[in-house]
Amino acid sequence: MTGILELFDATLALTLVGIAVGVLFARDLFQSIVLFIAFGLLLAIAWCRLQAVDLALAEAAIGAGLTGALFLNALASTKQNSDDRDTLNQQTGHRPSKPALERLPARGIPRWAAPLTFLLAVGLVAAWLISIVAPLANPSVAPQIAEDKGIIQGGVTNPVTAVLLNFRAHDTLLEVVVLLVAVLATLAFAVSTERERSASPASPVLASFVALIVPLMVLVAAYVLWIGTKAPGGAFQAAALLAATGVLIMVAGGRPPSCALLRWRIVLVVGLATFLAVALGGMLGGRFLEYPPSWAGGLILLIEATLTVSIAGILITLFGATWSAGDPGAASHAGDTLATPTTDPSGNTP
Amino acid sequence: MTIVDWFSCGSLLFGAFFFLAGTVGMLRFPDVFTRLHALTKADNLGLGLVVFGLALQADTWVVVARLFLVWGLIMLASTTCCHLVAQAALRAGISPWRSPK
Amino acid sequence: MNELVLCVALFLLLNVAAGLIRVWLGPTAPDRMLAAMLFGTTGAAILLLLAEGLSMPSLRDVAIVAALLASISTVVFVRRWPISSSQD
Repeated sequence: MTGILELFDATLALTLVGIAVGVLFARDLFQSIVLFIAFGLLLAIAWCRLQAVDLALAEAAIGAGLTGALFLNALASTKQNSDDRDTLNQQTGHRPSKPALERLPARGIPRWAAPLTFLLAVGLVAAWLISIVAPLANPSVAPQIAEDKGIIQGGVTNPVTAVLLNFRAHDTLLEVVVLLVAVLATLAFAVSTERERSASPASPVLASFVALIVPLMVLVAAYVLWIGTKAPGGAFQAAALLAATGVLIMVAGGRPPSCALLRWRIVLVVGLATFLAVALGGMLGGRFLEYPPSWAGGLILLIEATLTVSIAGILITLFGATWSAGDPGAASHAGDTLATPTTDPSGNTP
Repeated sequence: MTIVDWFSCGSLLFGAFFFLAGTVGMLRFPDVFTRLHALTKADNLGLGLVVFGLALQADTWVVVARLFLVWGLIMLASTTCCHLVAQAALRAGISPWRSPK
Repeated sequence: MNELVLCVALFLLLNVAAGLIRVWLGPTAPDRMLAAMLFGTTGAAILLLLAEGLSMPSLRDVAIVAALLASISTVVFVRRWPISSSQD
């Protein structure tokens, strides 16, 4: 039996390395993306063999599933944008006079935004300096995890969740901040959001498929979130599933969510806000990010639930920023649609 | 080994055979439409047989339900994708292969 | 019994490796996408077999998630392809 397992592991490792080389040296980007999807799937199996089921779950959901869709979408929109520019240049004989970014409305940015940003930056640097002088919390996790007692004190029985949201919660907190910053950067460059979407009708088969699978995905996302407190699962995996529902709804003809809507912005930040509120609340009785032991389980579940919603929203925004349902004739009259940008890209949340 | 074990073994081996058939078909068939045919029929049957073989060894009904849920989901996904890919390929002007006479 | 389950898992892994040849050969984009569909189906089967063979029941959850998301990249692909200039 051990012989078979060793053979399995060797084949898996060799194939993984082979695919990695293939991704790097593929003839075109599309081939790289397909190989990358295969890489994600085999990597998930590799994590299973390494007994890291949490990672396998995340890799299956994000690496093999969502990342492929994001990459394909990004590849298509970069190609489409360069093609549009070419058609436009051929039609008008010169480059468009204004870059599309300058046409974005500058409204809605309050006057106090700049000073506030400056103050926050100063505060961040100050906090960093203080943390060097006086370290915040006990950074070593291993001894706490080593005892079963430590994990029960962590509020949940799945050690990975305990590490992610209790013992090393500041890592997770900053990861969510990174995701939010990524969304801001993407929105700043997402020129195609102001293009009129030429929606080719989706196949009725696709529509029924989406209608069937979206409720199942939401159900499994809730299950993965709930099971995360005691078995492999958690916020990131559940969020990937929720984000997949958003992607599928957009693919079937739904409009991408617009960050001009206040309720969508609330969706994007509610996870971070809850996390910060709980972290600051911990300072009342102890230190930053320290939960009262008797409440830890409930608080972690609350943070995870709101994080799931926010991360899913962030992933959907990342996908929707460049999404336009392509049809083969879109590029031929793209010059027209570029010339009349929709002024208010308000859309419904999916 | 009990008789259930024998059935389970047989089912797993048949499943592996159909997976092999699907892969060979995908590598050897001449165009995208025939390859779709090999992939979405043979592989789904292979998965079904593997699921059946594993379900015979399962301890609880919950495990059986999960196994068949995976099969159902994969069948749903691959039938839909098969139709969509074939449609997209036709629209893109890929003409189906015809036997040279 | 477990030996057989793991043998089948290994065999399916070799199937995935063989499927990579189709990604390399192409020749059209749908051909390459087909290979991704093969990986989804075979990957789910491998996960289920490992769950049984290694007695790790939580791998069945991984298989369910993989099966749910097996279609998403293909669906996005067919809605964004062909892209005017490049037929591949």
